[in-house]
Amino acid sequence: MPTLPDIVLDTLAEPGTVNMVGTVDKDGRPNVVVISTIAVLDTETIAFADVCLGKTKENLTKTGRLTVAVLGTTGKKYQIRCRFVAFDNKSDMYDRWFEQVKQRMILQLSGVALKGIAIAKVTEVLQD
Amino acid sequence: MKIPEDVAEMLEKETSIKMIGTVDADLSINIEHLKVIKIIDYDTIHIPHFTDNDRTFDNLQKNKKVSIAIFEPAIIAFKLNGLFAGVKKTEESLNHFSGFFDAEKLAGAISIKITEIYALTMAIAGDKVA
Repeated sequence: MPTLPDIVLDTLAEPGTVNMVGTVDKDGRPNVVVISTIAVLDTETIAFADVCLGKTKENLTKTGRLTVAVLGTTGKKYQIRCRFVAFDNKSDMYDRWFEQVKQRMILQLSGVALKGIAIAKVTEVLQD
Repeated sequence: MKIPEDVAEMLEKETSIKMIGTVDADLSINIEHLKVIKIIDYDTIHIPHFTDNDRTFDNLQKNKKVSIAIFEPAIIAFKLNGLFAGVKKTEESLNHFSGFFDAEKLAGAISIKITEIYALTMAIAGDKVA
């Protein structure tokens, strides 16, 4: 199983890094959105919050393909290609994330709630 | 469909973060960071086409659909869906990008017709804006 190299982990951990998630529907139509909650669960697994995922969620459940584009503050660029595993809203991890996401999002907008956590396995890592 | 003024401004702003997603024949998604976008008319943009290793262009040969996300830190963001509309190799189209890349790396400009625009900003995420 491919793993995330240290350089990618370091870039993901930088506070100013911008992450975008691309998914695809059955007709080959891509969908790219900004996601600010990318987290590394282990070197083979990433996760992000479902706060207001629309088309992204629909695509993940239908095709299961996603790519996370990572743009670091120093211009380092990576693509993490992944296979969607599941949306989690029952485990201890969900309970821990619920409060963290609430705290983070409350700064931007009140009333948002965590619906679940998208979990995906890394299949390929590219440096651009 | 007309690209609204605020979206057009953001697209051409050097400080906004822009990424384009395309898809290959195996439904693998490729996302490239765009340093620069040039607005051509009310629904058409140009992005640079590179001589080497241009995965965006390679994918567009087989699948014309594109998705572009633009982000202005901290929270303003839009998503633009569009279709590949060919490559321009005129001097004018190359000049749009010459200040950003070495001339020998530029093969032309990829033309994209924007068909839909959605807000990604949290309070109005998913709302169609054009």
